[in-house]
Amino acid sequence: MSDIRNNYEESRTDKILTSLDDIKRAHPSPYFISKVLNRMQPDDDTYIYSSLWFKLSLASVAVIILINIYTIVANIKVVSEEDPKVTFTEEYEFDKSQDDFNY
Amino acid sequence: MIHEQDFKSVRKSLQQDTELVEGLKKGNKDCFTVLIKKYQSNVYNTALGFLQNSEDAEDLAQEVFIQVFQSVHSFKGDSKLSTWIYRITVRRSIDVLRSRKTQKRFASVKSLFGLNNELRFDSPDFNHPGVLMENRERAATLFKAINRLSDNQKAAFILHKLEGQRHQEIAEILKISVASVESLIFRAKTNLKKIIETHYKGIL
Repeated sequence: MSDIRNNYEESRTDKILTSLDDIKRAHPSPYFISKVLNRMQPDDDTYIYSSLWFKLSLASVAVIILINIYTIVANIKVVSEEDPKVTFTEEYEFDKSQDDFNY
Repeated sequence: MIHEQDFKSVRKSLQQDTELVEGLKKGNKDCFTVLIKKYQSNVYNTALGFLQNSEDAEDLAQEVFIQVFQSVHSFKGDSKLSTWIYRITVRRSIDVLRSRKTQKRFASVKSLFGLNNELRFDSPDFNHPGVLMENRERAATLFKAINRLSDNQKAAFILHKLEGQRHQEIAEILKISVASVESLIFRAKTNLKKIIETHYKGIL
């Protein structure tokens, strides 16, 4: 009885394995080529953001901003280092002899 | 022994491949269209053997051709163009299967903690356009069994049985020896038998 069952199972397994031979070659959809070509075309936005010119201009803007920040910081530093208590003790005397105007 | 006419057609095909590669390296879109026409069936059917779903296979085939176009500069001509394309297809198919497994494991871990119970990462339904309706059930069982083989056995078996590739070509695609290919195919058949028998014993 078990032999019959084993033979049955073996023949079924063999049948399943040979079913591979019945598989026909499948074909992708008729629009396959156009789909691939469409996927090759990047979106306009993607193209702009990935282009070299975009990256270069972005980098130059970043450099300009950094230079400006550096200049501003340096100026603030110079102003803060100056003595804030500088006062003019001597009064300025107006030299009338040097004056071109006639009073 | 190769027939003289076969030899001529092989030589013509190789010459055409060399021209295609040269054209692709120059970014020629017409060459790319010719390349897709020539290899779309091979790439699609190989992907179908691995993924067992027509939509996924078509998506992967598209990605393979895009990769071929983008990385054609790295193709040095050490192997045939078809071998290189098959290699990309096999590698990408295995990557997809691995990511499916990872997602499935991650989903089961998540479900343990009660997160995302609704999400399911089971393999998509078996959908092979080359299988006749009356053979559908048998083929589904067989492909389920193929899915349980190791990556190398699966690749060798699919390339040999579904794509009809010779052992030498499979060896070049998988970058292993011909003896290893023979061993892989033999072990794949033995394991498939075991898996299918266990499957039916479980049912009975």
